[in-house]
Amino acid sequence: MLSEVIANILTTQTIIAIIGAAIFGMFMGAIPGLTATMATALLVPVTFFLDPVPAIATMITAVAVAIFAGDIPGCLLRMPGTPASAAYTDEAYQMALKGDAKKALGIGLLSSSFGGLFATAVLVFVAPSLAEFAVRFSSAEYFWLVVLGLSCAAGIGASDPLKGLAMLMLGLAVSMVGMNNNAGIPRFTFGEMALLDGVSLIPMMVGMFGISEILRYASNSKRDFGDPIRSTGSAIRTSAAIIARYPVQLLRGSALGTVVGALPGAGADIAAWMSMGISKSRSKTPAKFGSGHPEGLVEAGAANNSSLASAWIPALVFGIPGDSITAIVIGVLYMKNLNPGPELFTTNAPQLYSLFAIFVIANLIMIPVGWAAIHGGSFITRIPRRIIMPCILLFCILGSYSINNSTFDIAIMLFFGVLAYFLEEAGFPIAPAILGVVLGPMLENYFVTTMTSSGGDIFAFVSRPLAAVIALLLVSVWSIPLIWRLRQKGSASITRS
Amino acid sequence: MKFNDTVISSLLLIVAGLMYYNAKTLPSLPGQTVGPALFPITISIMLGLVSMAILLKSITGKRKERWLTLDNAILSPRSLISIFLVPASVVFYIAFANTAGFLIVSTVILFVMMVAFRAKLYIAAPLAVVVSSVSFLLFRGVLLVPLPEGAVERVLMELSHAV
Repeated sequence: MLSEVIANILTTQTIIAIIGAAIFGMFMGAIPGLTATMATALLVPVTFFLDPVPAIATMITAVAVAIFAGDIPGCLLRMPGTPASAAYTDEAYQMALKGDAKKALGIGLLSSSFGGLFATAVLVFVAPSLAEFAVRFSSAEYFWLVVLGLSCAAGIGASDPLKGLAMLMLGLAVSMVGMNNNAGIPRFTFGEMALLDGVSLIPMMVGMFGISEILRYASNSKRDFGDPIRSTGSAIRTSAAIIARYPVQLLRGSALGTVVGALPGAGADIAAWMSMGISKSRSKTPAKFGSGHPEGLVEAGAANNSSLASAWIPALVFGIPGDSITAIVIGVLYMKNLNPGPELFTTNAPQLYSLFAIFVIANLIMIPVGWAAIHGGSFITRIPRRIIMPCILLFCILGSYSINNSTFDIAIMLFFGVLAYFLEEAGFPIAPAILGVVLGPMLENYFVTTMTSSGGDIFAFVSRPLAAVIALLLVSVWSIPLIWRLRQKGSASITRS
Repeated sequence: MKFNDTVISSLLLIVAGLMYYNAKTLPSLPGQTVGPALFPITISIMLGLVSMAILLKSITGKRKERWLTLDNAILSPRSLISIFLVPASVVFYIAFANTAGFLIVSTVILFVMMVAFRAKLYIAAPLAVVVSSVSFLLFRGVLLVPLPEGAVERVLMELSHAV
């Protein structure tokens, strides 16, 4: 199999795809407002024309590099390039003000690379064993897993869980459109033939992430970034020496990021915020945090990149996306006949292990590409958005059209883009809606399959021990935060009285 | 441009209601334990309940917001035109790409949007032509996407065949 893996990777198409995606990811991550998710969505039309391994390789590489590149404007402009860099933007900016911009970015680069490699190792060793275990799962277990994923999804990015839940329901409602249901009955198509196959996920996502951001920029195009701090400071070598001073933090950040990433619903930004918090609380010098102290940078920089690789564990083993990036990736996996699930580990093992190898390559190629970007960092952040945004609009149109060569998909993109703009402005998060659209058909399918195979017996959902355990886990996921809140309220009222 | 929670949740409530009544008309199939209406009905009820909760919270909440809040920046004519141009460009593409061809329509969109976003005319014009041409070559030439063709594309194709 090793020879097959090497043959898969060492093709001209794969190598060009990885290098191109790394440069693309660097630009997308380094320009504030353009996220790693948007980079993934914009890459989908390109993957359509690539072989399976290079297609997925573009996404793995672009995302890994984009998450690091988000540190560049954070450090030089105090404006995180992606939400995953927000947790330590102030810390990096303070270092830049002291003249240590290159040092701060070097720490971000090396810790990101280490975090990514750490989580890849976990992915390589854990995913196959988990897949062996998951072969025993029936539709009842999968049903509970999907509900578990949906429960976590409602909480992503929402300051108000109710708004997250509303968006999740909206996503599930959109997933019901078309005749892709067990009965084959057209639902909510309004007589439109183009909707019989459902709402195309890619145009919808391109609209929600791309068009909404362009609209946000259009509403205030005066917003300027100011001049970036000159990227001064010592060379990248010294960054390695600083990281070596914090081995515990590096490992802790990588481990926490890996765990957080593997949970459905939590992503790189949550991992970075949690790591930053833990780093400060466990630090021997917590007072130094906020004044340009590298300790938190090491830990949170490793955490956000490690969460990317581990988010692939539920995506590959169960077909359940951990975040909006893996939701897009799952769509591409289906498009490339690499249907996620435990069978993937036996039927397409060489291609799967090629993807694992690409994770390693992506996290290594990040170092030279990132090194170049650190030295030209201020150039990237100076590319005016008044030029970039119209180009992105054109790519959104092209990307949406290319999937089915249909202008109807461009209209879908526009509709969901405008909708997402107004909803996001009002504090309704987008990610739960995307996960709702991806998980909706699975939820219905597993429910109907379980009910049909059991002859309509509702207890079939808990009659198998494994299903009952996951159902219990789900109940605890719902009840623990409730109990915790009630206890907090109770203790607060006791204190007041 | 922000609508408050009362407006958004009311709209979501209407969507939930319409979804419920539409789902009620879906047929049930003989011999199937679960019909195609079950999930849409369940989702519509849940969406309705969540929307009602948000609506109640916004009505009874202490923080009162106007139905529509506009930033000062958005009220400038330039911002209003820029916002309008984003959906208008997409509609323009859908309406005219098949007759005028990709190159002309995309060049116009890029040029107009760049100028609306305050790019200088002498930068916007050549960039629009270059980006549009490169996109055409990439998607039509390399990725073989059948982009809409007009007179310009046909002339270019004939020229390339002649060469």
